[in-house]
Amino acid sequence: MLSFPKWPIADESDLQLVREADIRDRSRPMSKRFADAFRDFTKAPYVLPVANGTVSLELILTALSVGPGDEVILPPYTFIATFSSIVYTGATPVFADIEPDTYNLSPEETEKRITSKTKAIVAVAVAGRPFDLDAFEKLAKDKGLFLIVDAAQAVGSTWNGRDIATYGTCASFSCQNTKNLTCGEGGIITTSDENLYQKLCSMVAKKEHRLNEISCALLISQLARLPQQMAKRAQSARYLNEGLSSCRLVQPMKQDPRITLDAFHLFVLRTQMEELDKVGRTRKDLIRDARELGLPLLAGYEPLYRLPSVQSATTRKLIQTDIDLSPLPVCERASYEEGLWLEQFTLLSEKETLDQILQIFETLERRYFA
Amino acid sequence: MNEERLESILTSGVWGTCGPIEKLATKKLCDKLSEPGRPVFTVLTYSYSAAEEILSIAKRMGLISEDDPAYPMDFGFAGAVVTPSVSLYEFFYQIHHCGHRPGIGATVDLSEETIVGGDMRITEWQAGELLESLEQL
Ligand SMILES: Cc1ncc(COP(=O)(O)O)c(C=O)c1O
Repeated sequence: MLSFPKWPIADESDLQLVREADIRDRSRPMSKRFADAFRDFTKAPYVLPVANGTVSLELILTALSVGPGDEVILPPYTFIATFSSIVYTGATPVFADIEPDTYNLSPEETEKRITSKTKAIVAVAVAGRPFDLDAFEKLAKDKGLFLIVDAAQAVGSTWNGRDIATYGTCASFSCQNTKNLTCGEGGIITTSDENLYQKLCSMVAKKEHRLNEISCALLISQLARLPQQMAKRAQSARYLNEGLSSCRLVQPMKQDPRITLDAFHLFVLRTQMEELDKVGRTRKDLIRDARELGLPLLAGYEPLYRLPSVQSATTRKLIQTDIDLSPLPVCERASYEEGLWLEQFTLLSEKETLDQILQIFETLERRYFA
Repeated sequence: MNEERLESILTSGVWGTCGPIEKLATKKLCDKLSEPGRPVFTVLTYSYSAAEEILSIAKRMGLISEDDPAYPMDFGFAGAVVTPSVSLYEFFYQIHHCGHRPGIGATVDLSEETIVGGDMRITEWQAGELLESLEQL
């Protein structure tokens, strides 16, 4: 049986800070301490801890006056929060397809969806891997749009040596309990726009969207652990990618040299569909058989436009218009045929466990191609 | 919050996302507010305005009207939505927890989710604080 580290990881240093925190303290010393620490870590000029990584997106969109009648472009390959934050403002979500080798929003497909009503792009760093930040910053600038970086999964990722928190109009992070930097539930907004930051601060205070003091205390100790955990995840991902480089079942994702640090919130692989096809197997078989051998492979996101909740009358009622729910080919392929995920804690495993993971793929390869 | 509870939240590894302390606090609050033969249901939220937001979204979605029995509660450091209606409770729960139905976790079949939910979840820390306040009442 494979043994993975328990997540989240906490010890006496966390408890010490938690003991010092007072949920009723209105001067919010832990919140300030954490914001300072995160500013130092990311070099983002302004940092605002908030209740979670969904509210952070809603706050950003609202502060940018995105609302009814506006269109916001997003990928369909993401968590529902990217979508809910848009429809809760009353704006209309517009799906654009993803790239085949990163599963992130495609800048070319995004450009095709821009209309006179488009106000913002919410691009997601899926699995922690930054999307093409150069292309999206240029597109947003050329077209006069806001670029919101949904970095919920990407804490610590860097692009061309700069932290993802420093890109876009704003970046948004989640600290929910599966995330690489966690306090159970939490969120962070970063921006370099002082006026926007001030506006967000007053919105957050007025409506009590702040992150509570105990959660902030925990983030301080968790942030101290993050660099070491990130290094370990990156090392494990390299090891697995190398070990799987000639595997006929799966292939690693594209490595973009502009990604200077990858958070690896998820370790993503692509099923070699054509190879499996030859022996009458599918991704479903692979997931089932790997699970039987103790490897918790996941199939990943379904396209948002296919979810009943997205298609529902209640959603239409919120935005007072229809959403284009046409299938997008690359997302269809990623969702239903190709994408494979392992969760981030897998990458914190000992080398022995990583070797067992490689052995499982070898076993199945031998079995399928015997 | 007492040291023992804090330590258990931290060391159990269950820090949030509708965890065990939230369930205990929810039950305690329901018990306090219910009268014999007249149960109420509650959804705990990270703040009072998050509770108001649930009601406002439910209205905009056409799920409730002004006359429906549902109200927000304020505990200062957290909030709640209270209703005697099971079906309204289910709607509120879904709005507060990204569309998931009560009692169903994140691995649920998404084809069963019918409402686009947000995130108004209370943290285990706030739930611990609330549980203690309710125990002392
Ligand atoms: C891409 C993305 N955006 C937003 C969120 C929402 O974050 P939270 O759970 O903190 O509300 C998540 C969380 O899973 C996410 O993965």
